[in-house]
Amino acid sequence: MRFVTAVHTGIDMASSEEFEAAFRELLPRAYRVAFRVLGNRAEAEEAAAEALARAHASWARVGALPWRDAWVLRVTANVAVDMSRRRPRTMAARSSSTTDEGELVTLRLALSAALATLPRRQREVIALRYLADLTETEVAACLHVSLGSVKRHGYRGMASLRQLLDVPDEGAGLRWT
Amino acid sequence: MDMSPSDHPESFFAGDETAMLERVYARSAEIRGRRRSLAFGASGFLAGVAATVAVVFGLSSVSPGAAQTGLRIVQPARGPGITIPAGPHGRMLWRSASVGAVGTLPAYGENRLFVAAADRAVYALDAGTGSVVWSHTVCCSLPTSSGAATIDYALGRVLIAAPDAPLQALDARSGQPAWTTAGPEPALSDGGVAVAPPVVVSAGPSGIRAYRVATGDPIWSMGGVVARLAAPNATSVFVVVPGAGGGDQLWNLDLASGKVRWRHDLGATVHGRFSATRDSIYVVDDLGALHAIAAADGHQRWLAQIAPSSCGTKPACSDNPGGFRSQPNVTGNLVTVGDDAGFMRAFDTNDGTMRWQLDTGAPIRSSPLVSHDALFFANDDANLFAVNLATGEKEWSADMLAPVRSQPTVAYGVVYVTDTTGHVTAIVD
Repeated sequence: MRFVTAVHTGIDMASSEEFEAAFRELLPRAYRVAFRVLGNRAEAEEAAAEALARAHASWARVGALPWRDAWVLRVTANVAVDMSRRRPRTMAARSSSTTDEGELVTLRLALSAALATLPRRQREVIALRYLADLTETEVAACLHVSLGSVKRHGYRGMASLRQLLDVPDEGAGLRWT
Repeated sequence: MDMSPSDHPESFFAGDETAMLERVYARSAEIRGRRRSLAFGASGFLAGVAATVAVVFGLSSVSPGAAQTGLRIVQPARGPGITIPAGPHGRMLWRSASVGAVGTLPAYGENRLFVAAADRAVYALDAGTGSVVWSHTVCCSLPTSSGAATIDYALGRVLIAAPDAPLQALDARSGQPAWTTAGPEPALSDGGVAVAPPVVVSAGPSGIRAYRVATGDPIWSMGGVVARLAAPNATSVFVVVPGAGGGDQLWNLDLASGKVRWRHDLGATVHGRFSATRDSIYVVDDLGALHAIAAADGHQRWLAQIAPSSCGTKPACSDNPGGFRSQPNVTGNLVTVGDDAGFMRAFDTNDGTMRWQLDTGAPIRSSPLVSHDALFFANDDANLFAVNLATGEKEWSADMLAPVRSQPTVAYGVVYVTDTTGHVTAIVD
């Protein structure tokens, strides 16, 4: 028997089934990561869709990765940060508010802007560790780096964020653990 | 300040998962299209455009492979659930009870075969066993038209087009109606529907209409045009329209807008189905000539005259002087087409040179399908053939017990055909 694939999509059918199963699992997580960066439903959907599309386009490779989920979440975070970089500045002003939600939005925007200034590796570590809720071990596997490297980049990234966000050292909640 | 953001109510995805999946497929197609552009230079350009068209249409997918090969569109499947015992090629896996289908090909999707019967019932058969998963009689009390329904699968929808009936879509999993167009379609004939996700185009005597596959929402329409046949590639839909001089014209319509890009005089009538790829359209006219027409501007790239010499004096040719009812298949640099004289032939897509021919001894009305370098087709002697695409050598054949005039469908190493008695048969490749 020949191994027959769905030639029309360029993705073999078994992989397509796997992708759809993974998609249903990953979509909420990717969306959540993106929303945490962007704070906007439409943009979060766009970022999640972009990341999942990149995964689908390379599913033969990505689907076989042991850190597949982390790969998708990392791409999501990067896409979201890139989107936040391109976002018009007026959006931040429009989002300003005295309400709790407004403060949250302002904080998120500030965080996104700060994240965007970090070196790529630091940004990825921070995004995966905090926005995607991965463990340090998972982050290390995802980024192909050692656990020590994750800790180092995370520590440096957090230090940079504290400085950028004007948060005192070891400030409330802003800790690398 | 807590580094972990709070769980804002909107941080939980509450959108349409299916729409997001379609959006992902569309964007993925664009990404892969760009890769091809990088790999093949200018030749990849249209694929990217195609994907862009999909994005413009919104959250749906384009099947770039279909654009390249002109094959039927097979969307990602759910998985086979089939255990295939060891044994020779060409053995029968199962044969369904007759559903009364009239020559329509089985559409494959989500591990199911979808067939449309003459009584307007649509059946979903389990691809592993042939048992009926669901059946549904399509909408409306229809006049007893002689035309068979055309059926296809895309984006989780089973699309059914029948003469004098609305274009209808069923949910592939449940068989429940998903959408139906407002009124009867213009007497859709076989080949009058072109599915190019996210768009489905119907062509008939009262015009051409385009709808979204997922929702059935109309996209564009063109009235006052008598169109008979349709075939898509990724960016265009091509239709055959009668010309003023008695011959037919081939029109290229923009898939997104319906705008006419060009018209080409074929110089003869066309009743056989044709195939469109990214680069060319391959049409067999009623005088037995195979036309290769450039998709970009409509100029004729080459013409290969096949009939009437191929048809000769065989009785089967008498009612069809051109001798071609089989839709050409385009894969790689070969276009293959069968004829009523029983020949399957392969032509070089570059210049129309015939590369090989195989005499099967009985009319071939079944459109060929290529899967993994094998060409699958059947003839009126109830034989299903697997032929080496490159050389034309027969690999195996199998007795289908009844004439087969539909295109086979291949999935997971199993070839599915419907025959003229309404049985669906699964054959192991």
